[in-house]
Amino acid sequence: MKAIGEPVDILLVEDNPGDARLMKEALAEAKIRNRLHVMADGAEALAYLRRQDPFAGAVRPDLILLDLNLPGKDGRQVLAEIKRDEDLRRIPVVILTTSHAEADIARAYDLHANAYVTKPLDIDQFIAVVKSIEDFWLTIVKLPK
Amino acid sequence: MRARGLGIFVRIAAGYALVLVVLFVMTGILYGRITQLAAQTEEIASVDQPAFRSVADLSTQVYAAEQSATRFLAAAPGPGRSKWLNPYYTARAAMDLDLTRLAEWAAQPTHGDIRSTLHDLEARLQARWATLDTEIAAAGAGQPLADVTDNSVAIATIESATDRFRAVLGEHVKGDAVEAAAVAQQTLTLILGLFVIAILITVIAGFLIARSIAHPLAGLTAAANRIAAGEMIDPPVVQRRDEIGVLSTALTRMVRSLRGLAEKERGLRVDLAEYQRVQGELKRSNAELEQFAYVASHDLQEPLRMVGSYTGLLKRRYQGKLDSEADEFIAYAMGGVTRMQALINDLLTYSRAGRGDRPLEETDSGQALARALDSLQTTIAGKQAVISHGAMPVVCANIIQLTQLFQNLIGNALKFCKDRRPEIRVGTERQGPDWVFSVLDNGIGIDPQYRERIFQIFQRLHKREEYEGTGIGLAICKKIVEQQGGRIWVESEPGKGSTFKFTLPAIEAQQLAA
Repeated sequence: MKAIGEPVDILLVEDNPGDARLMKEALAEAKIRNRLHVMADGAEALAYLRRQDPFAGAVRPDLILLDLNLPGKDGRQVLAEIKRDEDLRRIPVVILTTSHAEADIARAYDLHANAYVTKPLDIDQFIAVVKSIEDFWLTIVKLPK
Repeated sequence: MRARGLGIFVRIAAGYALVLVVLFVMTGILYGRITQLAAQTEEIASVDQPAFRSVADLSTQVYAAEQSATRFLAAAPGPGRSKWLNPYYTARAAMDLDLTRLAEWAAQPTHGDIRSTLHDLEARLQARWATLDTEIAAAGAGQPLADVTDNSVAIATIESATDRFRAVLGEHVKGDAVEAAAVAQQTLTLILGLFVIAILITVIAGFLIARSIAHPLAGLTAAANRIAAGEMIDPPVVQRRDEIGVLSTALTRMVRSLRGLAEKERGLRVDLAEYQRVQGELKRSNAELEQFAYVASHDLQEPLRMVGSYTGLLKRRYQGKLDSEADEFIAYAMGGVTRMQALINDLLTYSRAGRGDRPLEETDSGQALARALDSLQTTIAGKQAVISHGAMPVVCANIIQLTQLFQNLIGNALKFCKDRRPEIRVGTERQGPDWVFSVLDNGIGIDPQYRERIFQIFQRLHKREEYEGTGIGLAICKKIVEQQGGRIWVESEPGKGSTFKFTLPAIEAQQLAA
């Protein structure tokens, strides 16, 4: 657990810069101070998490927000690899996607996603959802140290 | 069909008739021959044999006459002397008779050579008889016999003449016998010959008839077998006016009509293939269209979400901070995004509604209605609508689709009610194998001229400010109903409410058909 007042680290895996920026804006309106790290594809995200070159000095995130549709290694594969990795599997992963498909939801939970959230179309609702995620995962939930 | 020419029956009958004629001719010839043979044998028996007997008798009588004459001449004259002459006269009469008979025999035209020999014999006999008569007369007068002539010379002369005649006669009789034997031999040869000819004619006639029937029949049979096996060959043409000719013609006609049938069948097959191809294409293009609509709507949402999100962010951050025009522009942009999202959602629903991947099963329409009313709960409560329904039947449908159907129709009824409090009645009525559902409202009604148009996609009758909507709801209803094997229509007049009706197959009918 971080010291009080220290900003939390969030890893966002999202290839669409528009969405990434929107997330940044939504987080900016949130109460909790945070640092957002954005990775645009799956391979890059895993390299970041494993502190591989060029991310040797990367900070271990407190929360991972993962999009399902990514170029190259997609969100499902990234999720599977994180949850297979003993060092990484305890980091909560929230799937953030536009897909309502039943198959996608089931598959994500089968791969041990911690939550599955569909992006609301309305910006106000989107901001509210992001706030809820932050509240829940970063203040309410007890996570292992 | 009857053969007008020489039928097979006639042909066979003609063959038998020919054989019969040959047999008749043979019998006739044989009859003639055998009659001739019989005549010849008869001649030998009835003419030649008596001639021999006459000659033999003649020889005997010559001696009897000589003996009688000699005894008379040697006897002492006296009253009893003449009795010795009685045998002489008897012999003379017998010899006359014999000679008459032989003369008759010799008189036959073929016996010319015999006649001279007979004349010689007769002359000698006459001469002798003359001598004897003279001697007897002299002796009777009492004259003494100068010398009693030795009669042995005279007898020898007569005997030699008799022998000659007998020899000639024998020759003749032998000739007749030889002739008869020859006739018998000829007759035998003739019988054999005719027999062989009759057999030959029978065999040849039989062979010709058999060949004239069996040969073309074999050809026709072989052709018929190949045709039966599916080969469309030309059967052999037999130009005859009998049953075989008729059979050949019939076979040719059969092949012609078979060809016609095959042609028709080919045509049908082509038509069927074309139909299947078109149907397959239609199915494919429908599937492609739905896939396209689905993917397009899905992919359209992504950029739209960006536009919506950032317009929303603009509004959130800068509303009231720019001028009033900027706020108005942002509001229009937001409105456009909202409508676009609604359209895309409806389009998605529409494209999903047509997919036949949802199974039709026994569905409680009451349950579907309850689910639909549940979804519309907020609107119903807001408008204080009164919704009633009767007993709801079990139908053959998909519950998700049927729920959507009720939701759209009741949703419309709730929407197009103007300021009145909506009263909606859901009814059902059995019609043959179907259930007819009706959704009756007290709303604004529909001009009959738009009865068809309202079921087309994106067709709207009202301004957006009056009634919201994308114009897709009823198109979805139509697609759902038609996909479940029913039809949908509306009965309405402006200002008098509308009744939407649709049919769904009743479950009993389905079970009966299964």
